[in-house]
Amino acid sequence: MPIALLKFPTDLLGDVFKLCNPFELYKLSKCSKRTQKSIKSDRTKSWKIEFSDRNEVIIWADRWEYHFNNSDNPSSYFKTFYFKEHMITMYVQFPNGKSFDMFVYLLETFGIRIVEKLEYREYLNSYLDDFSRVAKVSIERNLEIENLSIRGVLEGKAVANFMPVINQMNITKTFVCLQEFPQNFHYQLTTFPSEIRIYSSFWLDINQLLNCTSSRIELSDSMLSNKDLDVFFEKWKQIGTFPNLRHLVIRSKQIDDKSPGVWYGADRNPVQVIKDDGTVGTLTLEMLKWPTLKFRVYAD
Amino acid sequence: MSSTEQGTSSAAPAEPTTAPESAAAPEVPESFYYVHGKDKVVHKVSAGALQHSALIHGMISNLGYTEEQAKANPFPFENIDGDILQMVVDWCNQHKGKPTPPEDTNLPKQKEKLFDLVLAVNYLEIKELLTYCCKQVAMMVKGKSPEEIREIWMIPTDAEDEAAEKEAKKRAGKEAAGETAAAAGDAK
Repeated sequence: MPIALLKFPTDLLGDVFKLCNPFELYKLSKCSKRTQKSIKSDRTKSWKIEFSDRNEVIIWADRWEYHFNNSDNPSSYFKTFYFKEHMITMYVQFPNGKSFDMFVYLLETFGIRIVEKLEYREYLNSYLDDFSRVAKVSIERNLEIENLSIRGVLEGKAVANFMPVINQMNITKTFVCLQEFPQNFHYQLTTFPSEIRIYSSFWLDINQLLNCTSSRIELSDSMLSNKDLDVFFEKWKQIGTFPNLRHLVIRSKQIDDKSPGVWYGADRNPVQVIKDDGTVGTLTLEMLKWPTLKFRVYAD
Repeated sequence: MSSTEQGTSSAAPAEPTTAPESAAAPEVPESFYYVHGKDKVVHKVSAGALQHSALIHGMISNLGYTEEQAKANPFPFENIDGDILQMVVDWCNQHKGKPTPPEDTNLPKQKEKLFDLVLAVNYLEIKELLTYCCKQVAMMVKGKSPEEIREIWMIPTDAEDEAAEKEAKKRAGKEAAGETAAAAGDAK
């Protein structure tokens, strides 16, 4: 028995929408301009969006991942498949066949303000153009980006051109950069989410480290030296500095266990570093192929 | 005006069926109120059952009616069909003093009445029943295609919406012109 949904008062319509999942609301939005407008006007949802593939956009809702996958085959449209627990896929036709356009459609239709994950994975398939456009839209609309991830090798130069955009993004949880860059790459990172992991971090100098407000910092292929670390620990000891820092890992060929400093002996046993306010940090040094400094802070 | 007895006890204050827990806390006799819908059929409902409706609960909370006063002043809900009000009253009686389970099997099953039921429950502000009714509505389109959703939820196409909008504008224009002409006539 049909029911005239659009004759419901707006608040009641919102109550029904709340009980629909992203796939159902997407399909409803495709029924008419009016239904899309009704869904858009309901701003009670707290869904998140993920962009990490040229053929897929994911909506995170109520502990479920709703994967919208692009398809050229009309017979597969709106068919759904469960891949694993809390993960379901539906095939649809992306607007203009572009994942960027689908991202914007879902963003606007569902009134999403949080990007759960924005990821560029070069090895999957190249979609740097779409990725850059998504980043631009995220900045323009001041979206919160919880996790940003960039990983690749081949397109280092192209990604290097994209990097300045990162400082304009509102990244809150993690920034993971597994990207390799050209040797002459220079960059000043000024946005620091809770966690940064940079695997080709030769460009991140001591000044950037001193300004970093993250709680977890992991830098590989670093150019930081014992002298830089000395400067870092001198600052760390001062009261009120690095209030968030809990975990620091630096892998650098410029680090040795011979130079005098707080790390002396840390290659054999953990060394305690004590802040002027009594906070204790533990330092270890592993003299591997890439000498690795690990510093943990135990705060109340 | 006809009357149906929907309450669980008589109109007179009920005698306590169990011994009071202590002499200091005697059991308060249950009070009853009366409601009717579009069909004017009066339903007698206990205050306990009516607590489900935020609207009615708010109306009766400070009335302090005697049984006679309540009977003489039934609450009129002229915007609700009699059979729909009957469903709502039945549900309130079944769930008197009890929390609603997540899957409520006592919900009226008639799909054809669902639209009116949702509107009535929304108007009467019966939160738990409304949630359940909305769930029923949402369940209607599980796994359906946009075309099927359009049929189930009676969604007009863009062309139909545009035609209806044009028609509404035309009608509004005619009405405005009529009012202007009438005003001019009055001025003469």
